[in-house]
Amino acid sequence: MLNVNDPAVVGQFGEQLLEGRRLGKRLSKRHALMLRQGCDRITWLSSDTVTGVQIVVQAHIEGDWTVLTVAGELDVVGAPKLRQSVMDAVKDGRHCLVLDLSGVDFIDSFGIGVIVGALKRVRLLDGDLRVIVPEPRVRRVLEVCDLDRVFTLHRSLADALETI
Amino acid sequence: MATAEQEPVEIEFRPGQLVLEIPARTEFVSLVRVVVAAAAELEPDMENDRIDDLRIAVSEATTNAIEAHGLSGSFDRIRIQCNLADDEISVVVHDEGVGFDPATVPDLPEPESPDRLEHESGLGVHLMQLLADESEISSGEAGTDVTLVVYSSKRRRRP
Repeated sequence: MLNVNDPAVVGQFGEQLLEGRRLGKRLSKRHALMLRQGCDRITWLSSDTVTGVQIVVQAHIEGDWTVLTVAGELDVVGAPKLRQSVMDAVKDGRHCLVLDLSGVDFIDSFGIGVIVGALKRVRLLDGDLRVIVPEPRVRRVLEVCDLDRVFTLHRSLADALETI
Repeated sequence: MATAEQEPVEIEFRPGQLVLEIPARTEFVSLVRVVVAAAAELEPDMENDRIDDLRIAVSEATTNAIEAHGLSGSFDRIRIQCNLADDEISVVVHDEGVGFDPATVPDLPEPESPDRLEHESGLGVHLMQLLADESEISSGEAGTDVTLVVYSSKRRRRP
């Protein structure tokens, strides 16, 4: 058991955090570089370049539907990129959209705002929006906001397209 | 344009406390989430769902703080103080940007209401309040403090 009120333990955690041992698995190179640039106690990173990309959105066509596959974090930085992809699809006359959030590991109000905005846009154009959210952590956030009462949360692409 | 070297990230460790200071720029929000979640994981009784709640609430508070700086054109920094206790974690996000009046945040319409779709933004404060067990926003001349308390287990939540 760790006692966080023990200065020795806190010191050890600090060292581990700064050296990236504890965070090694989740701390991306992008984060590591930020820490390294900001704190001269960070010495564990070599000359790695910044390869961490916060969000990737890929589009493909499935019949009448345009599927936007999203990977990364839908926050203040990532969400605008999804919004742009939605707007590009709508501009191309594609009003039936599937947002596949299978690869999303974090969502906050910015991501939710983009989904709500996308739904609003396609409905105005008599289109439709399906959302795929298999990840329980992301699903839970949408449920906390009661968005599962506004649209169905599908578990897979097959599930989303089957109900059509 | 200022470089990262001129705007360091600072992390200070004290017994039961972690203080993180970042430049008021949105690309640092994900770093704050990672560090605060790692601190929360130090608590043996902290449930995973609660760490997820904390991660989102802190993300909202930090983003709001950064946006307040963007509006005021201030170059001050954002300070995130994380207090670790046996059965709860409290986080204070401090900024010196333009003030914020929580009373001006409009209530959200019911989910089924057609007006609900008008609310693309402004969800952040609601989400923060929904996920944290206690939340307080105090804004004054010295800036804004957002205090979030997350209990280690949802079962402990007071009525």
